[in-house]
Amino acid sequence: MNDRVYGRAPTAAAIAIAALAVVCPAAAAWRPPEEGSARRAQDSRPAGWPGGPEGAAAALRSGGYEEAETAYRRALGEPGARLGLVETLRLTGRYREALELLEPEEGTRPPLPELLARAELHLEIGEAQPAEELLKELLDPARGAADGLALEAEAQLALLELRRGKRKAGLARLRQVIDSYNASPGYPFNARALSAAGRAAAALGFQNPGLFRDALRVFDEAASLDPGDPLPQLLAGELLLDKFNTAEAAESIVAVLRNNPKHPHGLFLTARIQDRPAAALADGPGPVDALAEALAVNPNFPPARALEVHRLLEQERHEEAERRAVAAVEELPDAPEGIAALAAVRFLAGDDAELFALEARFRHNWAGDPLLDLALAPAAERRRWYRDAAQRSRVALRRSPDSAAALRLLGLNLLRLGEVNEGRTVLEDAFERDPFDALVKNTLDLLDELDGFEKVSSPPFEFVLPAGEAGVLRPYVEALAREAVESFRERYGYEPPESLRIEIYDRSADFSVRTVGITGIGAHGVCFGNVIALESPSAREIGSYHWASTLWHELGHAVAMGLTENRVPRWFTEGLSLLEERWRFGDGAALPFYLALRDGQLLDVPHLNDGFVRPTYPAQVGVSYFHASLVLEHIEREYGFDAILRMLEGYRQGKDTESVIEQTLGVTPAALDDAVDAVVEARFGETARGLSESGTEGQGTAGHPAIPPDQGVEAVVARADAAPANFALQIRAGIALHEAGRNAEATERFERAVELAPEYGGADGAYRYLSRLYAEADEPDRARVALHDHVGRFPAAYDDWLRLAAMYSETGQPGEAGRALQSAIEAYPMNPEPHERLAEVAATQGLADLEVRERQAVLASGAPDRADALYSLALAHFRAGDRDRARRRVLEALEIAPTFDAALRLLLDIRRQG
Amino acid sequence: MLRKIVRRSVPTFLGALALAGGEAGATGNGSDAGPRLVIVAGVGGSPEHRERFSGWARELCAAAVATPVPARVRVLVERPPEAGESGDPCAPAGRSTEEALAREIEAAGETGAAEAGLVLILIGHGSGGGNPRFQLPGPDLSPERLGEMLQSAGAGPVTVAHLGSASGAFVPALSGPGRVVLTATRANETNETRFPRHFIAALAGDDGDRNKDGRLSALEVFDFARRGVEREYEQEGLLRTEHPLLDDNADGLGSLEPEAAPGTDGVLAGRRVVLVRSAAAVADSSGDTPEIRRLIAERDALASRVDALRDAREGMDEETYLAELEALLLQIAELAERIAALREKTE
Repeated sequence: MNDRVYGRAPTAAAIAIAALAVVCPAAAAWRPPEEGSARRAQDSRPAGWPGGPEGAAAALRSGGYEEAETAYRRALGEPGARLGLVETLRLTGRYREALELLEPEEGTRPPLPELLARAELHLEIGEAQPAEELLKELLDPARGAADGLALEAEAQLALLELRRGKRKAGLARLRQVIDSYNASPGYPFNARALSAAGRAAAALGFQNPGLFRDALRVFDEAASLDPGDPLPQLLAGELLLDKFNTAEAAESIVAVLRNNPKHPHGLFLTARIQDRPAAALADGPGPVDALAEALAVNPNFPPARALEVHRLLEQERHEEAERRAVAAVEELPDAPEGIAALAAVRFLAGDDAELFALEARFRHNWAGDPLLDLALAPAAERRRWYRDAAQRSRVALRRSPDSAAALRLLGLNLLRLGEVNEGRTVLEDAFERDPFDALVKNTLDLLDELDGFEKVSSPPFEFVLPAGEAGVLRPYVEALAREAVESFRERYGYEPPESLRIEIYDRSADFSVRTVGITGIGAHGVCFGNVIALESPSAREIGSYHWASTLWHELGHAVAMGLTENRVPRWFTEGLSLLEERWRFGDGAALPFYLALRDGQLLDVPHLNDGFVRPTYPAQVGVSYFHASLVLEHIEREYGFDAILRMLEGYRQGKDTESVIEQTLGVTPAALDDAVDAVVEARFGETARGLSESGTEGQGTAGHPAIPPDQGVEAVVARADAAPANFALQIRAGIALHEAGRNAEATERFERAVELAPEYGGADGAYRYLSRLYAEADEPDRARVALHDHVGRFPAAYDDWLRLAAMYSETGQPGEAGRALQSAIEAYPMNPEPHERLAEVAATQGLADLEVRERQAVLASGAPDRADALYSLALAHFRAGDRDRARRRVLEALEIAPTFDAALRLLLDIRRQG
Repeated sequence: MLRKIVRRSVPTFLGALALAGGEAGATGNGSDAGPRLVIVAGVGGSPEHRERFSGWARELCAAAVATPVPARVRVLVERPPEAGESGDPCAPAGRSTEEALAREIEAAGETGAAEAGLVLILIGHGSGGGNPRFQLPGPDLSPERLGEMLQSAGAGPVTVAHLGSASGAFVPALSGPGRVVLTATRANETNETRFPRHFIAALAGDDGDRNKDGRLSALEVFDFARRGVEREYEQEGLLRTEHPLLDDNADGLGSLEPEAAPGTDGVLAGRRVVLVRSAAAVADSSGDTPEIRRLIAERDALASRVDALRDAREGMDEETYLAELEALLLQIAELAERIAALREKTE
């Protein structure tokens, strides 16, 4: 599948001509333009007004809208000034005013460029009928429109016809545009006309994907012909963005904003990029809220207003979303983006009557445009209503059978529903129409890889595991999944669905593609309802990821989503899952949480969702997880677990968080928030305030305040002395003292840190250091207790679990050692060592089944001495009374090592017993 | 696919046993038989690396002498201590210069390696490009120069393990009849290697003896170390920058996964024993009463039939195969029981 590669079009014209020739043989006649042959609207304008036409145009192109408007108004009688003013008004959202300006005086025939400008204004605000009439008038042969202008009008009309459901006419006209483009000798087009040709090529890409490349090439040519015109770059950026080629899209958009940082369309596209997963933004535009900027320039820009509504919906701020959507539709009643956004509001609110009315209104003008359905499907998707998303995608396909975007949405949502075969077929179809869609390509590549995964059905579970890891992972994944489901059944009365698919990926990139379609997501697990995907322990560094708690967490989501029919808000399900996870695997507060508390950054309960979907500082998502779990913990303690169940039921009924709180708990959200604040303050407040004594320095790599490396021990200690309530500084001083060999003083510091922040959990927690120091001081009991406290707050500490197991073994506590080894395996099961040791513990305790499982794991984890691993497994089977398996395994051992004495003796024992 | 294992090929075994002392344990360190294992720790370039390389040399030596048949070992390091511990078989014999290395190899040839063989282990940094070298104090060592030196090692079997970076560049010059050449990397891989730690672990621990016959073959050591390197890179999620090679069919081209299949690299290495790790393995070939020796020969013949059966497995019915395998193995098990009983009696 290596042929599914997408890159920007090569500049070599020959390649592009060859591709164009598929549709229009006349392409061979195409020649590059001669320098200066482009016609620019401004070229013919005399400089008879203040600042000159160039000055006004320059102001307009650089975002100096007020200056441009003043200049154009002063020179309205001059050629070109009217169109310049119209463009200024358009960019700043004064559409009606612009249209009025272009209204022809009675008895006059407006110039053709003004006709086109009027048509485009009507188009931008969704007034299809007048736009169509004007374009047709412009194309009337009697008007004798010049080639370039006619090409622009032709392309606009073709696209309009497609959107209005006049598919045949639209497609024919698009081909005509390309024919005209190819047939024009001497390359007489300006940048606008070239852009129009590019749009035609892009619109026909579904028939011949090579045209997507051609479109980009033509946009590039247009941009180089008139570097000041933002249109070609915007069109290129939009096309690339539609293909999820975010990095290259950003290049084009940044180029526009470099010239005009206040270009509303450029800002809007930037906002779209900002809505992509963070990794995609690495080389993209900066962190400014581009949508707010776009709307500040043009408060009526229909796509920007629609995006604002969709964002609010994503944040589950329904009322605000509704208010904005209604206002947008009132302002520009025909704009399809606004109608679609309001439809999304009604759809999510379950207001079918309103939704149908809006759909009818939309269809009246835009019968062939899938925009509305393509707005509803992602809205459903973001709510995790995957079945609804798939259904809406199907509707979009009925309206617009050529829509690769609709196919993509359908295919991806089918995969999320676990309908892998159908999803794949749909995505193959999408790929055929648009091989440049990065999401589709990545996902198909992933599905190709999944073919090599091992699939195990063990109802209700279906496990999909990397082939090389299935032997080790499967028993643990299955045992844990069953334990979780049993636990949730008991607590929540949860009955798992008939099929619960659990996919595990040994490459983070694959997991990321499964989750969002592109690489770079930072999460470890995802739950789509009946499908859970997570990273394999081998995908991450040992100690940095805890696969078992991740699986438990995601299964928690499956419960919350199942009980609420996917209506649970993000904060609630995350909080609940983390709470369940903390109870099962351990509990520890992280430094960012203390800092957020110190800085007053914890959100109030009704707005907790924002911390997940629209974080305002880097650590906010992590902080919100813990905070949400504390809210749920408080509710359970204060109101009983039944209150959680009632809240879930409230969400299932479609109620919002405020209503659910009021109706279930009998308090206002503000009162709940106050109560949670009090609990959080009592538990963490003093510790957090202690951190404030450290000042505002940055954080060190281990999460502690950074201290320059050239500072000696005394300086570090002095800083800790100056801030005796700052646990992070006490830890830092402890580390410095320990490194200097001043163990007694180091111990005091760490003990102080534990007193200050007993709940702090992390790789760099004080308990771990204390354990080491106690061990060095020959206090094994205290060392063991401290290590136990450490791993209880940081369960991913694989090495520490092994160390703890060894401590328990040394003190003759095989049961405890066994539990520690099981925990080590829950942190990282891929190494043979903990399995080997657990098998030994199991053997000494007569736990034959456990010994067999662990010996199987030793073998599957690639033990270097395979013959010995097989022999040990055979012995375990023999001890468990399973002679057949014992015989089989010992034969395998001896097949490798026929003179292996111990195995030979076992073979004889098996034989003699039989 | 099951990898083919070649065991106990008696005709060449005498030569292979040389490292372990050859004559049934009569030769400890300091015997007249002369040096047979030469370990060279090259230039470290930093105190940390110097320590590491000389430490590895010591570990290797310790593994080679701590067996029932201690090998005779000569260790050369970048900076030998002025006075070694007296009686320490692993005390460095000198500085690891090219000249000293040449002397050690020549001495090996003069003192009996013609029959017993020589194992040369190079630990350190290598350089690649068009001018490959192994870095030594003084002039660095080129593959060609080492090839010349080995001509003086006598006619006995020679095994060279170059554990450093860019070591694959030495394969063409060292390859030859009767030679087993192991390298940590391909010619163009110049990063610091992880191979040595796994190579040492194979020699020092029990896990490298894949077929449990008490003798570590060059192939077993290579395979163990290679897999260890692979696993390490995989677990750390890193792109592998070292691919160990083995050449033993004199074609000058190393194999990444030698298999001991006829005509390929691995056959000779599978027979080349580099260390004997169990007393029983020594006794198998050199001690015991005539009766025990007869039983051992019978057992080994059966074991060879197991090899043959395994090679013929493809196309056989699974149950038939297992039944035949079990029948052979039961015979071996019974022989092993009798051998053990007889040994107990003779002790």
